[in-house]
Amino acid sequence: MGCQCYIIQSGKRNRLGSRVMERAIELKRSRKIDWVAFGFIGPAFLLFTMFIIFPTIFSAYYSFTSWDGISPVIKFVGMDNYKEIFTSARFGNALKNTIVLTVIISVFENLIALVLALMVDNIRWFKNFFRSSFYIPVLISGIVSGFIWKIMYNYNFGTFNFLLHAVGLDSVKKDWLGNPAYTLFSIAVVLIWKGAGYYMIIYLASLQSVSTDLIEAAQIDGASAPQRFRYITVPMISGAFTINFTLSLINGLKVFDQINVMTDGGPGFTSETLVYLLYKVGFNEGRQGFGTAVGIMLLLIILILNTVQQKFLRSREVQL
Amino acid sequence: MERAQKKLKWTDVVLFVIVIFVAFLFLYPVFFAIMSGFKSNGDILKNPMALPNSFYVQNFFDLFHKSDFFTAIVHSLTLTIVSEILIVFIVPMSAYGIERRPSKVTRLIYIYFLAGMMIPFHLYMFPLFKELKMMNMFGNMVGPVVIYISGSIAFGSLLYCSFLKGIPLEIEEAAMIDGSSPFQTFWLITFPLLGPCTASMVILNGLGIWNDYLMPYLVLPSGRAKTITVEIASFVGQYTARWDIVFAGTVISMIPAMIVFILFQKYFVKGITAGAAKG
Amino acid sequence: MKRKFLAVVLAATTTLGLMTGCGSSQETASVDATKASEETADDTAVVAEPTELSFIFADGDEGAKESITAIVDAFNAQYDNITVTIEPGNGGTYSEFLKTKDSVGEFPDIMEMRDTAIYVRAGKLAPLSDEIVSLFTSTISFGNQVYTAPMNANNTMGIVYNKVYFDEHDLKEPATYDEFIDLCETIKNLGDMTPLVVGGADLWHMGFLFDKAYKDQVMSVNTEFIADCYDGKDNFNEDCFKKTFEEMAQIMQYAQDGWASTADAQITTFLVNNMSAMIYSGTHMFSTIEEADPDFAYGWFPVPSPDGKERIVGGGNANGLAISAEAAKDSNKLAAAEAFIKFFFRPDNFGKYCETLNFAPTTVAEPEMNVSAVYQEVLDAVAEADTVGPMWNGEADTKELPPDFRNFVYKELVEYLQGSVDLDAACQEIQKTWDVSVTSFNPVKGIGLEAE
Repeated sequence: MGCQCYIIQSGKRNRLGSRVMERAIELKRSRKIDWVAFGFIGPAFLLFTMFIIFPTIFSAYYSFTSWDGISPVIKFVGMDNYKEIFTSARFGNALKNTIVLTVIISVFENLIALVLALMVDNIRWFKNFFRSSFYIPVLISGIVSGFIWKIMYNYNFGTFNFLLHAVGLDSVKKDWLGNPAYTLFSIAVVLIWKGAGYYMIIYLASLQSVSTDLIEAAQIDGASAPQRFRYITVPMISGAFTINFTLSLINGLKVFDQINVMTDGGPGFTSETLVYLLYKVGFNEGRQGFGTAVGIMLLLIILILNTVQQKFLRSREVQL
Repeated sequence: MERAQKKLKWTDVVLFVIVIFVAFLFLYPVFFAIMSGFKSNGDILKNPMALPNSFYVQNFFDLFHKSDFFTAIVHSLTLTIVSEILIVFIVPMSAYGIERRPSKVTRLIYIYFLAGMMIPFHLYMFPLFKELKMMNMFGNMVGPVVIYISGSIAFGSLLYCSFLKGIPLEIEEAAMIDGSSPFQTFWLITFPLLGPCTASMVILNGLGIWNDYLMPYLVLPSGRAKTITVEIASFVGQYTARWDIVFAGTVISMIPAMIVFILFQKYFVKGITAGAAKG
Repeated sequence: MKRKFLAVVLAATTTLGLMTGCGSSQETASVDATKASEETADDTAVVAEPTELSFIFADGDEGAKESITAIVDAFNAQYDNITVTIEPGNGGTYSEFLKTKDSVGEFPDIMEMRDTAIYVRAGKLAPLSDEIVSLFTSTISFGNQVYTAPMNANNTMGIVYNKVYFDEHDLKEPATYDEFIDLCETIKNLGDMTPLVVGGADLWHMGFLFDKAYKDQVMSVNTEFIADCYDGKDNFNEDCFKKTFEEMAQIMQYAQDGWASTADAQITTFLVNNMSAMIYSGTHMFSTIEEADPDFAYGWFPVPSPDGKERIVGGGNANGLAISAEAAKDSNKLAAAEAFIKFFFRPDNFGKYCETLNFAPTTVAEPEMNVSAVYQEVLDAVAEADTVGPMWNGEADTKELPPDFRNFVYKELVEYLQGSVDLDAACQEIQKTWDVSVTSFNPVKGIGLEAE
């Protein structure tokens, strides 16, 4: 009974909220410290604060300096780096690229992953083989996947232009990584290829937790396939969707390895993203202060985006 | 089982054909990497897209001969396994605390964790290293392990919190009424129900650790082999690169990842959540 | 071939190490042993107590680690009281590696230095003694001090060409710039190969050709151009700089389609597969070509400037072995480090190192090297050139570029070559960026050098 009850009620968990919740609410009212919660969360909180938040705060300080990354003398320059950011065309371009890449990735990666998951879930033969096939690209390190695709994208001896040539479409041959009009698109394809399997697994896990009994019951009651998808499958995978969308958004914003290997931000600065700009300016061009300021701006942007996205997804989840 | 009884439909065949095609698209680049692992460097440079012309395994010998790849494998395995064990110990507990003992504070902690997931590593790398050094965690295996655990907290909490929402409270409540403490309840009752979630996290996180490059390269003691990925990358120089060895290393590094995935994959399929809740 | 050679080097150095080790303990009468024991006797004079030195270098290029390790082992064997421990970093991320070591307080005693200017300004390096500086034909100085012992001469750029194809079509190595352009035109008209392959995906590779054009157009009229720009006497809207871009455009019309995404590592593929007749790159290409196709016949020539002079990239550069300022405070460490640098550049050791890595030596004492005929041509060209110097972005002092300026110029260059900006607009953008950069870094006016 538990399972079916959960599925139907997943949107309205208040009914389930009972003694455990009540105790917690009591605690809150009495303003006592919940030592049990502290015991559960404590270790994680401590590690997280010490090894991620502290160094970030230290780093934030550098964004107000003109530090080169080496010199023992760190000169405080106030808001200069931030002022430069707002007038820098390079930053503007990196911001635009970051947004475009992130949107493409979070939309298509999820769409493709969901389609893959549905396909694998419904395939009749070799289910395990296909699941593994879609997942294998995830196993390859970011750097190596960049190496592989860089060769495949090559204008003169890469796979794509070779195939286009073979079918007589020489006019559509493109310099996939050298023409600024296509570089972002080409990078996105690699990221989707590498990431879709990862999200597919999460979708698949939640698809498979949909009880077959329930589906069969709905079938007997005369629900059509689209209806079953809409009313049983979709609510079931909405949790997975929240996770996947958040993850692909964040991963899209943090893309690094593939850009590093495939275009190095080029041609020119055309395929630089904010993370890449932060790295390149800070580590390669000896402007740690400015690079850090770029990183802090990126962080602010991500925080804002994510708050908006969380609100949006949460309200959707409840509606479903 | 139920499906086996179903009649064969034409949609099954169409779907099968489509999936084969899509699988080919996904596998081709991987095939390309494996193929290159069995070609000489000259061959890779001369005919990048061609098949290897013989079963050429010199690359694998070179890999072990020119670097201490065996030590690198041991390091990678140690880092991944130790980090994963600690992650599985720490992260689900914290998610349980957040999800099952809701208050303003835990809600804030959840947001705090999520915010931290978004901080790019390059931003705080140097201050982090200084901190590790002060705590004697730089230049040994402790540093990377600690960084991997901290780095997994945000993602793990998100994953576990979301799964915990789907686990009915009744079972836990029954245990609590029987007098079990919150920690006992968590480890004995709830944690086993989180199986699929743990499996996904171990796979996804473990892979990140296994394939990580920059951090172990900078933190682990230099002068000897570090991790698999670091050793592989060391064959790409400023001017010259041994692509043959790089791809041979890639083939080797994919094998354990593949084995772990195949093992855990069965675990996914069993659908532990549904099964346990039914019982 | 190369591997075999390496084995010989290793064997030779190991034997040397063994022999000297023996020499110090056994009183044999052989010449070698006498020489060795003399050197070991020096040892006690070098350091007063046992000294340990940490040594960090970049790795990744074929043979680098092996040959440096061999030298270090030989050194450790010869000097009983000094122990050098090595920590190789990866070539691609070496600068992060060294920065990390610095930030956690593990800055090494001796290191291969690549971002010399920045470390010199931070006061991390000790100036080298005159005795060491005098070992080299040319060095780069910062404020009259030399901080690095150049491990290799600047990578000399030129054209590597398909010899068979040149012979078939009776093509000759050009003696002037115009002949070079004619040659490109002829190959283009023959139609069966791309005349020239350029790896435009890597900025540093793009820089090879840009540097050539820069030397042709700017260095031919004003060798102090950058210093003058800092001073405000010159700027990037000047004709000479615009001509640099125009020369690039002229040469690049013979480059392959897709140059903007071709990496330096991919260009040999074109050459050995008869897809192109020439490539423009450094001497590091020779070993890659030989590896891709051992039977491929290739030739080399430098491209002369339009004014008829040969301006060649070569000589010592600012990268090289350096001693940390911290180590220099300890007299034992300083003495040991100096002994190590002298040992490293001893003709026998240094020659093997250069030979393995296809580098041109930088020392006054010319090491004996087994080099290919083509490589000898490069060495001869360097010896006969009108000017030999670093790349435009490898200069120091008043000609050092602002931190991110080089990348910005290359970015404008690529956009200009791809036709998305016109020449005037590109140069104006460059000047604008320069104006912003010099407010925080101007060595002529002493801005941005505080930590010195």
